[in-house]
Amino acid sequence: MAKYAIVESGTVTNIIEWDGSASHPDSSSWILCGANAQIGGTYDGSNFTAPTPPADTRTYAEKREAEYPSVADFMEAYTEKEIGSDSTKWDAYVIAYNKVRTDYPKS
Amino acid sequence: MARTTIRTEDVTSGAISATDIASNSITATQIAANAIGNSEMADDAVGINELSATGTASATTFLRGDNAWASAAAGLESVQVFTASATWTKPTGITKVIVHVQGAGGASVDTTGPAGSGGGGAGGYACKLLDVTNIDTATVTVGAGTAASTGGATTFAKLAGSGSFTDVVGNGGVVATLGYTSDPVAGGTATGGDINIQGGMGAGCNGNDSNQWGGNSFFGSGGRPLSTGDPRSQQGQGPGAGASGGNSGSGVGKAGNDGAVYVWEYK
Repeated sequence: MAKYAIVESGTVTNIIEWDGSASHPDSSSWILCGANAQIGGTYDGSNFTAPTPPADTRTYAEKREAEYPSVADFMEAYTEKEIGSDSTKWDAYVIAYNKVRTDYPKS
Repeated sequence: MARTTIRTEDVTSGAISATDIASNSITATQIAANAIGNSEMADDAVGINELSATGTASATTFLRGDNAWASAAAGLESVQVFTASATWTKPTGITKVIVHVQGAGGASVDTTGPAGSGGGGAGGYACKLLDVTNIDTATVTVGAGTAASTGGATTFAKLAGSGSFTDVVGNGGVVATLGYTSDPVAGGTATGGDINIQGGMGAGCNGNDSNQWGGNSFFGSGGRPLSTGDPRSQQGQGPGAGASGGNSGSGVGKAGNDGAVYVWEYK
């Protein structure tokens, strides 16, 4: 089944399923679309443009909280380092942890 | 003095036939009350053809109190399933339908970057009993689940016939939110039904807890977020379910499930 966009005044208002042949009185206005077509996006007559995502208003602390490696990862890495003398996961954890801090510096 | 009346002995058996009675010469005024009883009528003297009822007498009809031959069939006769947009045409003899209209589910979003995705909301569900005696056809528009997008709306609307009804609509579930948020996204609303159920909410993304379930629709559960693998986002079960979100760096999001329309047709 293919997806078709319903466009009103240049804005995609609905995306529907249609087999391309079944009778429907509105089908002549439907536009075959691909992954770029999203409800709320635009159509300029030949190309679809996705809607602009909302601005990321999170604070740096919220961003870090969301992206830090999990507590379970920490426990596993720390335990293997201290008891199993294998620091492989710990080293990976530290790299991931520091990457988050680099990606989201204090502001 | 000559007699002026006709006695029984004056009329021999078989003496009067239809050709001896002028058209319309015998009306109700010439027939006394109770003059014609069962004994005056031969078996099968009054048949189906002598009745004035409308409609067609047959082995599948009965005579109603309003002097009409009506179908003896009743109850649920057939079901039409629409997973894509098309035209519903009323089958012969159908007088009522129950339509089930399900909007498409909302998608989760791309988590290949340093942010996770929540789950998408489920599509709304509307259920409506319609008298389609005077409805011939209806348009069926089935909303699609689309990557990174709010789900499409599904509608059942009158196309042809002298009757009318309000559109039955299941709106699509809202697309998931990217990044940290404590708020879930809404399921689609529903209108025009005797029953209108908003789709289940898609869980918000809250760090690395892997709990970003997609919203449940009337027909099935939302996508289950996987804690491992790539992508971790998953589609749900059944029409209109929302897709689950994935953690940061866990891969592309998934589309919500498509909507559907089911028409239960009754005679």
